[in-house]
Amino acid sequence: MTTPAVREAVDAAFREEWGRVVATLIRRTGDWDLAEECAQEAFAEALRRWPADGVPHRPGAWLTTVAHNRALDRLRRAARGAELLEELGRETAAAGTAAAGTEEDAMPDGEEIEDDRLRLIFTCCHPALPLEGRVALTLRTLAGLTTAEIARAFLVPEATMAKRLTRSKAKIAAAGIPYRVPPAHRLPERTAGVLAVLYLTFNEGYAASSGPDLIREGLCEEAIRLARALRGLMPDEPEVSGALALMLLQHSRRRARVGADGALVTLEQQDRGRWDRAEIDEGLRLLDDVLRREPGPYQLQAAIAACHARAATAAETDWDQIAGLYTLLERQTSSPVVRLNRAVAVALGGDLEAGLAIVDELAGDARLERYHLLAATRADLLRRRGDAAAAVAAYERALELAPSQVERDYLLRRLAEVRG
Amino acid sequence: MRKYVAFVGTEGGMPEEALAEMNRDWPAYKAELERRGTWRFGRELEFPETAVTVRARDGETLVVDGPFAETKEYVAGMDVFECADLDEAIEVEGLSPVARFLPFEIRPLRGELRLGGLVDAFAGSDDTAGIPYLLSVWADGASAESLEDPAVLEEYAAWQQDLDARGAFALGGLIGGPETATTLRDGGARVSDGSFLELDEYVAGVDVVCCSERAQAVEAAAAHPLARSHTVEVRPFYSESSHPEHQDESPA
Repeated sequence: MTTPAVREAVDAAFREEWGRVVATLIRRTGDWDLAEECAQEAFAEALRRWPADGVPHRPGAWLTTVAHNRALDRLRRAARGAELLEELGRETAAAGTAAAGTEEDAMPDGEEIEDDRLRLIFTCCHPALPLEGRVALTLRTLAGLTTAEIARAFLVPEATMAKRLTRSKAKIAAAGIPYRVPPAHRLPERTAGVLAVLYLTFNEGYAASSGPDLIREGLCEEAIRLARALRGLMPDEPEVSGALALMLLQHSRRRARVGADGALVTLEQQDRGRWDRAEIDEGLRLLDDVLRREPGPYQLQAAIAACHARAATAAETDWDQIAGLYTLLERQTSSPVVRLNRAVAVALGGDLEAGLAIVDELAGDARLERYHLLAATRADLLRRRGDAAAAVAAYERALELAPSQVERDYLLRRLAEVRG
Repeated sequence: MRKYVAFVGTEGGMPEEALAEMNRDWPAYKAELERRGTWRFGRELEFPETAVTVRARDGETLVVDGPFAETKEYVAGMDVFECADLDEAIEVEGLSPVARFLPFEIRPLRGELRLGGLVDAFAGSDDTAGIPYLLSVWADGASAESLEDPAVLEEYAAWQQDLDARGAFALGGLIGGPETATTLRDGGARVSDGSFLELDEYVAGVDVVCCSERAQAVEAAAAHPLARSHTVEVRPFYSESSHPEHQDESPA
């Protein structure tokens, strides 16, 4: 095989199999660092051997066995953990091989491997870990990003990210966080916790997609990939499908939301021809499969994104349905930001005054006191009403609070328009 | 199995309904623990104002009235228990009726939990051998090193053995720092990383000694090998023997 073809095969195996290999090694050895290091060595070994031997039929099985044998070697060399060695040896024997070369047979059945990945997801996203540690661990152990890559994606020094990872692994060991899928009665809340980590990762990338940094944008794809894997593992959890649908529907607009000059383009003004049809179709399909009578917050947000995705032009948006969905979402989250979004839907649905009334009511909410989008929304609705003077004041207030240059640029353009 | 310590936090003052609910549901909780076969016990502490802090420096003992830290939220009780892992610990502590109203901070033992001759009496609130006092070792980043010093740890074990030989020791051990802590709120529905006390200093070890006089507990604290590099806070547990007037209304 040619070197580029092998590299491609190894890259593909890395994307598909890294999490599986690490997850299985962690279960067998209980040692997160050892599992990562041995998985890394297995991929390096693949690069060396696959050109001559060809790509194995089950690359994941091959990689897991090589990593497993590496772990065995290291433990032997370190002459530690006699019990662990015995246990690992038994697994090797049970799998019917101890020698390299027949590695593909050393794989336990598929179900156990899938369980390992679920165990890993739930352990990485355990609520007893600091949130930033959960995100870092998920990207490192499950998605296979390097510490340097994660650090760059989150705009922190590599040493800081390395510390986060070390501290989270140390807590898992010291506090006794189990490597296990939570019991049924804890599953809904713990699954919500996992989805929060994935969605936070997605948003970190999505918010950054105006910049030139591809690594940050890559976070969106990693989050979608992990959500897709999670859905494969928990096909009966509607919120998992809902979260995946939400990410796909938002991601479908990524090419349209930034103009050629790098400026932010609002949903209303986006060129819908640039939306990613394949992602929209997948998102809508997922949503059709799961929407039930009492959908959870991810399904509701996805359903709102779907309303936008279905509208051929901004004018055709079904604002009434969106307002209704926000009402349901508000009941579940009691978030003032959700209420603000409902106000927009009500206003754009034709009742500008009712929308403005909700916005004005929210002005008294301390939680939104420094939220630039409250002022920006108010400014936009006032502009639509033709109340230029009030709109100018509101845009100026929004400008004071806007956190990024991209957003300030957008507001400045609007302000100039209103001032005429 | 792993051993854990949980600190119960409070800002003081509990609504009457909460107290009534806790007392009502306490027997059912005890029964549930029995059904599960969980090794667990807990005791309530006296108010922080009853505490003194003890330091031993250059052969001198410095005793200061009052708790180590004046925080709005303070430790009002301590549980000691054994569980397979943190999830089970969250489950067991979260089931407590007290956990519906107050935060619980779970910390793993760092090494061994030494159990003394008075452990069953302490667990069963039988204080005939003396009022139990909590000796908590307060550490900070700078003083943390001695917690790893094998010579100090050996001395610490000898100190515990000596108290036990004198019939004054219930239990004790070093616990993981705040980086190993997990806080539960709303009966375990909300789980978060870290301590509920927002302080740079933290409790790094707990020992329970039983004495008839507070002076004896202070003396034990002064002899604590970690009192030379840290501060040891001495605070009595709530005991019916010191509150005969409340004998019929205290929770189990």
